[in-house]
Amino acid sequence: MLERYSLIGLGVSLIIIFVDFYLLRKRKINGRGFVFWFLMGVGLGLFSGVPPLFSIISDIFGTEYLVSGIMGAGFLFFLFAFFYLYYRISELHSHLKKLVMELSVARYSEKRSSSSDAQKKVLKKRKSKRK
Amino acid sequence: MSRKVLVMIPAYNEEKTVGQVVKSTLVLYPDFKIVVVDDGSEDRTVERAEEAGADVVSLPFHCGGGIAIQTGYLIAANNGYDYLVKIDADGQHKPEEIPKLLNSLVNGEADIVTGSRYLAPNMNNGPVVREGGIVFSSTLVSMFRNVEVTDITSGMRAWNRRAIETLLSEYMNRGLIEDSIFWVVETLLASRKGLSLKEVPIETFPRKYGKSKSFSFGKMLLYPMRLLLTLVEEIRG
Repeated sequence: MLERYSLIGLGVSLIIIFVDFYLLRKRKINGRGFVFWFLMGVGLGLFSGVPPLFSIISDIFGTEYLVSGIMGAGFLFFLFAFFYLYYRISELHSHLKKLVMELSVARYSEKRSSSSDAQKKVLKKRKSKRK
Repeated sequence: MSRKVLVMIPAYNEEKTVGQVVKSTLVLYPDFKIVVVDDGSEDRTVERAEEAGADVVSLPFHCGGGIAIQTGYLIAANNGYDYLVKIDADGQHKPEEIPKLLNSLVNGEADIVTGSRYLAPNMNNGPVVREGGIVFSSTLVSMFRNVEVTDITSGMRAWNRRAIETLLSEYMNRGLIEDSIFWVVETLLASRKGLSLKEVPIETFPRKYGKSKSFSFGKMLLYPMRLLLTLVEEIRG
């Protein structure tokens, strides 16, 4: 039977993976972001479902206890916050690209109309010289 | 032809080939307007295109092929063009094939015409995985929407004004479409909106310089998932 913190971790990992797929389907997250959060969700699920994996990390850091309840909760909170911010940035990025598109086309139209105005002026001058 | 035709050439770091593509198109079709949509190139793509005689619309940073193509739609719609043709800047498409696409539009046979490499007798094959993916996607989309598609990712296409305006209004209201599935989404969307599609055989040259920007290992891994999600969304309508 898994400990409570493992169940919480597994639940959070499933939420992340589910929301990740949902955002991908709705085209509110780009490909790289999807892969990153999918791997984060899987990684969290793996460590939550197999707690002995934590001992590898505590061995690397040379600590006896890797994480306390407060640290764990804090980690999950910041993970969610980071995920939300990533989604918002992805959305803004989408809007930005559309704006860039419209601006570039507007600049092109302005350039075209000013060059055709300049051509008209040149033609007018030539006509008036002939007269 | 008395109607206005815009030829759009999206380009990203194609300084070696874009000039020749523009020149050869202008020589054959001096009445057509050629616009190179520069997708934030870091080389001399813009200079080469302008020297060759094309108008250039530059995006300030690299936004991806989908945005560059939508920029072409916007230019065509804003300036009252009757037909829009797209060819690639890498020199793979033969400008001589453009009339094959346009004739179908002018005759009212379709709203969107795609050039298919798979219908041509002498096809230049790319990497096996990529070719397999194209055939698989084309077959899947054909089944889903009852349209005949053999080369769904073909970069040589033409649209009439109705298609341009319909697709543009849809894209403006959607989230960004990943480049790797852009043509899949467009084909499904066009079919759903009642636009008729047709394929004509075209011959292509092999790519001479650089690598395809639309194909990479990462994109290849993500592609099946994106394709599946796109089709799921299509089922849900």
